[in-house]
Amino acid sequence: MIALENVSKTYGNHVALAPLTLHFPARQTTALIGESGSGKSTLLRLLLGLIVPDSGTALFDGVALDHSNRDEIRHRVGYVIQDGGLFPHLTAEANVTLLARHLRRDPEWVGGRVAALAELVHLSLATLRHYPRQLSGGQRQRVGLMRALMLDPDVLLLDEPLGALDPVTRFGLQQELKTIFATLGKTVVLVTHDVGEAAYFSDSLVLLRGGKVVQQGSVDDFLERPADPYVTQFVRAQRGLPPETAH
Amino acid sequence: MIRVLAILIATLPALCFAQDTLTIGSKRFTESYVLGAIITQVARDAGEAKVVYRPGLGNTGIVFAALRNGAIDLYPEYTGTIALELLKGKAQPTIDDLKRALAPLALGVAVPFGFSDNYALAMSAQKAAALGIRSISDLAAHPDLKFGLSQEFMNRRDGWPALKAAYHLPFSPAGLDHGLAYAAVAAGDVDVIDSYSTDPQIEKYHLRVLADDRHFFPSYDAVLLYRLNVPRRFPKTWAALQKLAGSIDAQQMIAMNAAAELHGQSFEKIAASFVRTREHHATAPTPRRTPFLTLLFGGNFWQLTLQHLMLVFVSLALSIAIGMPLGIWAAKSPMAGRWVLPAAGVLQTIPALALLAFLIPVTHRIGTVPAVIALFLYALLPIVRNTCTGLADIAPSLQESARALGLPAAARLRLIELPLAARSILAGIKTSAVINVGTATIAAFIGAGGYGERIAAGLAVNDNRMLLAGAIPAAVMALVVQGVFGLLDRWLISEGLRADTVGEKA
Repeated sequence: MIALENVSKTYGNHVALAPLTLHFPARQTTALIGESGSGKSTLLRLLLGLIVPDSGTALFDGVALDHSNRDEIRHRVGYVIQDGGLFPHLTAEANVTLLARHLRRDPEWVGGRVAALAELVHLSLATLRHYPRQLSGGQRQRVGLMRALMLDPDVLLLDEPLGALDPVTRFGLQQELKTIFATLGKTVVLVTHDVGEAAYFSDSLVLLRGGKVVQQGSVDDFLERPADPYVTQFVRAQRGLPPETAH
Repeated sequence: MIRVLAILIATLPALCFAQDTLTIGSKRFTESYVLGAIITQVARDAGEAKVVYRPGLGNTGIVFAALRNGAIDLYPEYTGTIALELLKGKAQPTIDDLKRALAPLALGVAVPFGFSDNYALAMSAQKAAALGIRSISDLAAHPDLKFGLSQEFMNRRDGWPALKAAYHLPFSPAGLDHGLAYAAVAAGDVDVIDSYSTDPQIEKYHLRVLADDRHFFPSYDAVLLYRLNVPRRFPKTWAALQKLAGSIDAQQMIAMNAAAELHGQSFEKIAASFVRTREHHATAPTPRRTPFLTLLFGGNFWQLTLQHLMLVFVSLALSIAIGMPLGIWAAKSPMAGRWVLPAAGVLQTIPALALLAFLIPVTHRIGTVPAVIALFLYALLPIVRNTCTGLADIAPSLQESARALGLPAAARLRLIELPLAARSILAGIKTSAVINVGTATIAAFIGAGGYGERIAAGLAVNDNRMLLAGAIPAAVMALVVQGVFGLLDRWLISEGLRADTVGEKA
């Protein structure tokens, strides 16, 4: 479905991505994990053509992403960032329907799609009439997801989608997102630094370090067949609750 | 709003090139205003031509340029000024000499009014007596005296430089508006000023006119300086103007100047009473002060308001039309950003009067056209700068979200970037509009009208009430413009951008 072939990206002296090749299996959820600055977000942006690689290509359905087909491919990819990335001057609904209206989709179809998506993400149509600043963090994220799903894309890219939320909201949304991904059957690539979240959502994980892939595989592979001591170190870095308060 | 501006722009040429019109000018001092008003009245009474009067045009250079390129047809001038300043010729010419010299320029002199208004130096009579000064020669012995001279006199060929050389005077004078010179000499801020022999203030402030013992100053007979085609184009009007020859003597002129400067009478009233009583030989008009409110709202108040609004908003519309694209370009292209903003900034530093005077020979016009161009240039910077920063300040995450949606650049600009920058852009336009209301008052110096006409006239005759009658409406207009933009902000800016969460980083 989507893949990166030999892509590299350097900012001045800083190597953001060493030449790497990655294939993201269709209709599966892949989590990109790693520390801050490991190249996760750079990788996601390359898939959308938001940054141009120094070498190599991003492929979409076997077609190389370039200047001429960029916008067309973006219409088939939903992109969600931390806190939704909503445009503050537009109501939630206008955010969701912006692209569809620009592409002059049938208003009736747009209305039906908004209603269906609102139900999917558990938002009322009244809430959608508000501006982003009038919504809670969780609501904004749901609207961001609606906007990404509006044109029923084949691919969904999420960059730390739950990173700005409080733990309770986050916990609830994790469950909902997992259901949504399972229902829709889309190719999903998710960036997170939370191993637990990655394991909960994903069919496979990709661990990045210093712009290189350390290991790609299932959670079991990571736990039982670590490719490198760093894999174990990264997975164990997740702090559980102290035993005495767990009772 | 846009439609109104479009109509204003469309009617602009019509305002400038009305046909079959006799345009009369005057210079920016009391006597010229009075003579200009008289000439205008006589020309209108002749009932032949549509007469337009552009009073108080800048200085000799501006008004002469306006005459030469046909922006005005005639104005009152003095033989000495024509000979020395305008023709750079000999000092004591006859009228026939002047006619010969002016003919190649398609200009002529006629209608000697019957008095001369000579340049002179004057100082407090008391101080002159104490120092024993009777003539200009005597000044050289007192190098401590402070000179306050009008800018025009300081820079004219027949003015200060020549006088200083002829009398070997050691002074370096300060420039002073002539309207303020008498008050300054009365207050003792300066000792010696230049004056005109028909100034009524000489008597009022007890000044002594110093004798020109080396006969330096030429004779300044008041005449009409006109384009040679005027008698052919307006024969009846011209015949009526001819009758003004010899009709004003020095005493009468002093009386009329006094009516304007000391008794606050309007030039139109003075002219009307002169024309009315000409047959019975005019006496000094009865001095009566006009109430301030009448002065403020009377006369041509609405005409000036309309002119002022036209100047402000036509130039503003041009600035928006040019400034916003420049601002967008500066925000999008780092190369353009490096020179567009500094260039707009440099424009802002050019002194307004210098820019206006420079635009007259460039546009071959006086009045509205050069004034609108100057205001347009001044209004550019705030609009360009605020458009550029408004766009540059959009959170990177929002710019990326817009690109990630797959919106082409033009759609991103229209649907996302400009609406997000709208507040900043509108604030820039507001700044430009308010600045323009103030700067437009200077446009009166080149005959573009507006409230500045009263300010220029008030300054010229040292009449604070007249000055306020122009300054107060200009200040009120600036406040109203400010208020209107406050309403526009509520109208045009999305509710989602209001409150204190503006610029929230997503």
